[in-house]
Amino acid sequence: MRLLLIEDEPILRNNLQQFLMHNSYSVDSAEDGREGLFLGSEHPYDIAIIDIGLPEIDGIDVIKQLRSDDITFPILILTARGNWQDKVLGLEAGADDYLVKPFHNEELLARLNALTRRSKGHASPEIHIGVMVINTASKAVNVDGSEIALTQYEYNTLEYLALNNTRVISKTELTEHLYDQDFDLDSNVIEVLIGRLRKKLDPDNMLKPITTLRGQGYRLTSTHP
Amino acid sequence: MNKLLSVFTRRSLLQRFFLASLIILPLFIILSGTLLLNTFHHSQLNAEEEKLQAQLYLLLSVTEVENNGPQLPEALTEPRLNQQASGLYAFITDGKNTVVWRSTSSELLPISLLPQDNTFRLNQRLFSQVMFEQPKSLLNILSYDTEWVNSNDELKRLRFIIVSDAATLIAELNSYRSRLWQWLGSMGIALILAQVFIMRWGLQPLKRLSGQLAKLQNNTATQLSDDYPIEIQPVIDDFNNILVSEKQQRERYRNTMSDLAHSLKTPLAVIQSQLSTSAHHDPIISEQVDRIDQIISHQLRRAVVRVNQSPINHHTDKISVHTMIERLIKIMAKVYPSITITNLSSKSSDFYGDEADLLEVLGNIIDNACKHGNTAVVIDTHNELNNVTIRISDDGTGVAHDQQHTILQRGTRADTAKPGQGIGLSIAVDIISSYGGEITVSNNAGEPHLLGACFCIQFSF
Repeated sequence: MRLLLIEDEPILRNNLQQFLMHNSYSVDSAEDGREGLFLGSEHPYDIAIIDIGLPEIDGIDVIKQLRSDDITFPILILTARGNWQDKVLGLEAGADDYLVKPFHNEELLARLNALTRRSKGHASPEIHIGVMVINTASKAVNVDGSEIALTQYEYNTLEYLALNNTRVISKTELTEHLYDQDFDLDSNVIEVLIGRLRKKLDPDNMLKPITTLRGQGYRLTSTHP
Repeated sequence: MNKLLSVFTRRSLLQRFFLASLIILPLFIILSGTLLLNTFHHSQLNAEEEKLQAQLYLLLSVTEVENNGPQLPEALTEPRLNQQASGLYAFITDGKNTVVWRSTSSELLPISLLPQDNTFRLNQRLFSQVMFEQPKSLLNILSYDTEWVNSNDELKRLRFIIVSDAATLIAELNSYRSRLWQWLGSMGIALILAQVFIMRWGLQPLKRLSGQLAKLQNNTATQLSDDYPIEIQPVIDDFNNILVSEKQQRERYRNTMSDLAHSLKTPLAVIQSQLSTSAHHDPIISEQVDRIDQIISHQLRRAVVRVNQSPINHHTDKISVHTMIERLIKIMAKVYPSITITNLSSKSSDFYGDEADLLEVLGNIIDNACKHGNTAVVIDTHNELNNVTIRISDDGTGVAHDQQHTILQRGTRADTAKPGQGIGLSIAVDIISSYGGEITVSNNAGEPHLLGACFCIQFSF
């Protein structure tokens, strides 16, 4: 999951970035509204966290601008004021949820999970694809009842494919959503990741859960032995 | 007595003026009536004196003094002197008060009525009114002392006395008096009535002012109008200016409080995030941060609410409750996608006050309902006269009976509240009571299929 974090308080921004990266998000952060708006318009994020009180361009205006540019990723606003006027302004501008400062990181994570899931059209945190069950809340993957141990990047790749399992996902899209903006797009790390995932999910090569569509990308398919 | 007077006069300016004119006006009327009566009486006497004087001259012109005394014609030119008891009488006395001649008319009159004055004042007229006992009558008497040379060239002292009955004068005076009092009395009543009318008319702007102040108080007006008489318009202008500056001050205060909350909470958020990321996670610090956060939210927002509790509430915008609920439903649908919120509110339900306050109240209570509801929240409103009732019901498990009262208690100390327990609700309760409204909670009181909690908010405007 690629996440945009716009927060002007440096310590909070760094802590959040650390925490989110630790929880399998690839995070781009911005310290003011102008930079945040630029990043938000340039990159295909899966979700954004925007503080309302920002220098340069106000958080509300950043949201309005993003929405008027037809950018639809879910946005969670952070507000220190906590009064409903601010919440309503933010939500009416186009945000999807709010969190009042100070907050517990666990709550932030839960809200982010719920938002990304909903934005991909999944109501429940568990995604069932054939015999495979991916729990987006606990980040656990089960195949046919047994839990599969995955690295963070492997899990992120699988989750992204699972959340978008109606579409074919190109290598570029995967890269954009799994890594932050400094990642070298030309490397073959995605192919390596997909190869490792295939081995872990289907060691006997019976299920073939990830289909490669030549020249287009990958798709997660219903797996039945 | 003083107490009674003060009770009477404190009640209204009109009564005060009425009482004052009720005391002063009769005094003036009595005084001017007496003055007019005196003047009338005086001029009456003057006229009478002149009449008698004319008679005197007539008498003098026909008097011849012989040795045996004054001789006058048998029939005088003034017929009343020839006729008995006509009301006009003439006497001539000598220096010793002995009557030497009397008119025919005076023949039935006793001599004793004549003034027994021995002082001789040559060529002087003396006019007086004498009350005569038998027969009882008031008489006007004009006497004139003169010296006359008779045929023997002796100097004779003579006193001419003309007497007239004052009965007609008294009758005239009486009728004048009764007419005068009648006129003055009715004029007095008319004056008091006119004064009451003038006062009412004159005090009309003040009456209007008190009406407008009442409107300010119950939030249906924001300013006093500017069409008052020039005497009170400066006061009205000053008052309006105070209202405006008070409102601005309040907004500044609100913003300052909001900024203060913001600047306190950002460091708290930093501490909270630092705690989560550091290796040695200390639950006590985390808990204390939560407490500080709650206290800040609660006290700062209560401080803002308290500003709204001034006797005259100037945030008097008319806000459609229906539209406000629609707005909130749209955003709640984003935050709580699994809850279906139905707006059954009447489009004619209006709230008079600050939009931010209504937003805070409805936001917190609808948010609570969405949190505790399973699938559905229903909001409806009810208008009755100046009352607006807003009911927010959910299909959750409801509020435990023993908690129904405590969760709505005002001024619950934030530091005793557990995290997540009704800070929003207590803010809502504070705002509602700052508008003189009421909030109650019950279970199973909403729509038939909604068996959860039902919060009922009532405002009177």
